[in-house]
Amino acid sequence: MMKFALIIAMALAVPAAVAAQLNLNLDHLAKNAKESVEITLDSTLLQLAGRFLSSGKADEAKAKELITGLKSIYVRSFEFDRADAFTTGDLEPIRAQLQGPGWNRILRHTAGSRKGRDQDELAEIYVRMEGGKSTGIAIIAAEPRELTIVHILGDIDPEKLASLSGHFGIPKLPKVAK
Amino acid sequence: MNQFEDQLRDALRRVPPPAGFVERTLARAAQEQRAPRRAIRFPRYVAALAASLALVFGGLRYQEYRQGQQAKEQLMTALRITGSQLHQVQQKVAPAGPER
Repeated sequence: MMKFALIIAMALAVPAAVAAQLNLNLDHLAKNAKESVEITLDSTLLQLAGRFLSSGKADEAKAKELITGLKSIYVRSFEFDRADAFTTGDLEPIRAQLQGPGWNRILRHTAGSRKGRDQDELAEIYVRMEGGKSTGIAIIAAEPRELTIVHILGDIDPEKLASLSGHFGIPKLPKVAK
Repeated sequence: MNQFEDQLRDALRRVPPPAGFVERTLARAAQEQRAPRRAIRFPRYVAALAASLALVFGGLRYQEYRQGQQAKEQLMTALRITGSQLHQVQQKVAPAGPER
């Protein structure tokens, strides 16, 4: 009985950050991918990486600034030989988790449609809000032969994320025409 | 003048060493040569322990350095991919005008 009570108490004490963490199990896609990138950086590794970032280099200084307050970064990116290597059904388990409390979809973009596929292009951005602050972001970007999922947890300043353009070899975003 | 010369001669008079002086002097010199030097000596195990510790700490530092470099590279790749995806999404959803 005591054991059971202890298990219940521990389950209730699971931190919100863990609850916000998505399960990005896409091993079945990784097997078929021509190229795949799987990055998992928890808070310990982020701190360690931060110690090796040089303030003297523009990109590294930017990275150092960006990771302040972050708890984890997960990236899964796949490039396939064939256009039918995955479907939106493969993404459903992840998208279902993003329907959970706290997560809000702030952008959805689809384009094209071919037989057997809902769309050729899919881009979705989800933000997790807690106490008026953004504490997580998830990006799902799918193209016929490419799939990328980015999941970041922690205190995220969207402005800072937007400032990634112009760094890391990413072209600076042109200003939106009004 | 003669008195002065007498005093001088008296002072410089050859006096034979006391009996056994030479033997005692040579014996003492030999004894000092045999006496062990006072040198600080660590036991061998202390030296081995110090070397082992240096090796372990050096190894740990190197491992930490490698992990740090790897984490840094992964972080930079992750940010590059994130930025690139955000850039592509922005380009798709927002028709861009000329940069001002």
